[in-house]
Amino acid sequence: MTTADHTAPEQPTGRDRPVTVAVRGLTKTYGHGAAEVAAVREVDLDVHAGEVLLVMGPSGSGKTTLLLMLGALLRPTAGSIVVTGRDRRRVEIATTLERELPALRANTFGFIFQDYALLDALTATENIAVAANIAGIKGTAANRRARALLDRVGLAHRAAARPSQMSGGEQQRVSVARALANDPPVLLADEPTANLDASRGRDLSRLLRQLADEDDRSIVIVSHDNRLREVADRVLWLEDGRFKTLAGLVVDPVCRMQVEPTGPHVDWEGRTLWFCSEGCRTEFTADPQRFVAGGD
Amino acid sequence: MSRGERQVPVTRRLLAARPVRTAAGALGIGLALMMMLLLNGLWTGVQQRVTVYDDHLAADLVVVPAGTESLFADPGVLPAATVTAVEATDGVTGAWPIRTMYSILELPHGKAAVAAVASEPGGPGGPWALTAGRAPATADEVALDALFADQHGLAVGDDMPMFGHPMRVVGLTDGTAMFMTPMVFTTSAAMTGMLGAGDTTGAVLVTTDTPGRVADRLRDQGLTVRTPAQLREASLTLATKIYGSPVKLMVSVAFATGTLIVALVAYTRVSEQQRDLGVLKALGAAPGRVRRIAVAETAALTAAGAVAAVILLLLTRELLSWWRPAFPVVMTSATLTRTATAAAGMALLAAWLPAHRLSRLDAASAFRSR
Repeated sequence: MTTADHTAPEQPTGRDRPVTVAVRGLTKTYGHGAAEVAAVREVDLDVHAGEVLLVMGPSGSGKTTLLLMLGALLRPTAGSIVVTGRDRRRVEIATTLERELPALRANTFGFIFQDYALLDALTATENIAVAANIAGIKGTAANRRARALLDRVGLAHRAAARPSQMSGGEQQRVSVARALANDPPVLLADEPTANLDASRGRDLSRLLRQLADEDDRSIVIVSHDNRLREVADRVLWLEDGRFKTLAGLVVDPVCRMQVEPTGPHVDWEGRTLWFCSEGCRTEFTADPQRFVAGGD
Repeated sequence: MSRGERQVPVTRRLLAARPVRTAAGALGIGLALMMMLLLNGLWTGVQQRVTVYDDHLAADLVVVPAGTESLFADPGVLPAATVTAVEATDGVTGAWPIRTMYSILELPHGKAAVAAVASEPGGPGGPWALTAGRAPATADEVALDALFADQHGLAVGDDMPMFGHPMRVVGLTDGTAMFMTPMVFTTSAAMTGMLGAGDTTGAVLVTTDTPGRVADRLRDQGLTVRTPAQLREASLTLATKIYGSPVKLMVSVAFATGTLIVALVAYTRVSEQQRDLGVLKALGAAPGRVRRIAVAETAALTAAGAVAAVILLLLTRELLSWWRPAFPVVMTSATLTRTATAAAGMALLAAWLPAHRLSRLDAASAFRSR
């Protein structure tokens, strides 16, 4: 059975490396009184240097809220987030003054967005250089760094292209390069493969793995995408604002989501299959072969 | 890391990214500023026109009927003997009778409002610049403002009725159009004959080397004395009473409209760029830097709008001088300075709202899909 747990469940990873992000009792609630909704509830979590952590969960489970709080973009209601910078200095995000948060973000985190979030007005090089500028790297040094990062993600030949002239895969690679402009110890990625096809999604997954291994960087990915599991050191399941034991979850054969074995289900060929919704169950029962032929 | 070096010119890139919208925004701002410049220029032109005769009196003092403040607006009469009395006053080097009045002339093409001036041939108060012919010398001669003559198809040598009397055009004068009323010059003898008022005059122009003392002596004789500067001031005051309030109202409306246009353009641009600016904020750009981008964009648009305004104004002025020469648009450095100040004020006012909005922009908005 699934067990609700505030603490991120342990999975076997080589986590003898230092902790980059330490989260304790992290809570975020919206609204007040009867209208109060808890998006994240007393979560504990350690992210290690060089670790790729994949946080999965259904829509509305609190994944993005957790990511925003980790990236100092959203104030938690309670709890603490301690992040260790490249200079080994430890900073408590939750108590950092508002006016100091931009500098903290600029020097500590790299962000990768679902829809790339590149500035259409700037070239690929400029999109990266502007992030370097924000982190304090100016002039030719910023441009040199931008070009080097483009080379690293295999897009040196697209340096002068604007986002509108690039494919989705290329844009996401530029977005990754931009996230590295400030050489952050922590990369935060929000559904980074959501707009990419299978091949490009796989390429990006490998690139993220490579960045974690080569630079000893911590990477936190929130996603629905099962493909990312193959590059993750740990996969956590967030539901109703809490981490749950992944081992107790099963895969909905229709939508491929991780689901608790407590909802809609059917008995099929001697086994029980579980679904995230009645819709998925109905779709399955209409044509079971379509969903089980390829295997799980 | 090298500080103080060049950064990616985000503002310039954002402006250049959508050239048509940027140009349209600058043009909108330019139109609003042009309206201000045009109204200011028109007002300056009106002020110059209403005092054009006062500025060319070529006299040190003017003896006017009691209560007269302005030569054309208060056309009273003095006894003809006043000229002799003034001439005989100690310190006076010359005294010349003039008559000034607004009149409606019945011309072959219709009625025309004019500022009629009668003066002594060879004396002050007559035409001061001629483009053709000469000043009137006899009782059946007139000199017309050249623009007026052109509008009515009159030339030197043509006949023209004045107060029912046949007159001949002997000269065309330059720069002699008062606001909406071109000047028509004739002799004192001609005007006296036409009005049938041989024992009166309108005013007396006085030349002297000691204006202060002579003015006192003339006042001692019970005469009303004005300086050309006083008459000029009175003309301006009168024009301001008549046209000042509407013009000021129009300038204010143009300023408010201009500010709203600048604000709308700035606000629209910021709204369109909110996602991009949110991304910069998420990447760690301080709120001040994001605000500076918005303010710099507004300032750049306003500057481009100011250039557009000057170009539009020059075109409009040319168009107006051809279509309606009676409406002069005069550009002075004071007008340009005032408008530039107004533009800066507009930009500041207009930038406030988007800057305020950006200061509250949620950096987490970058994580929301477009």
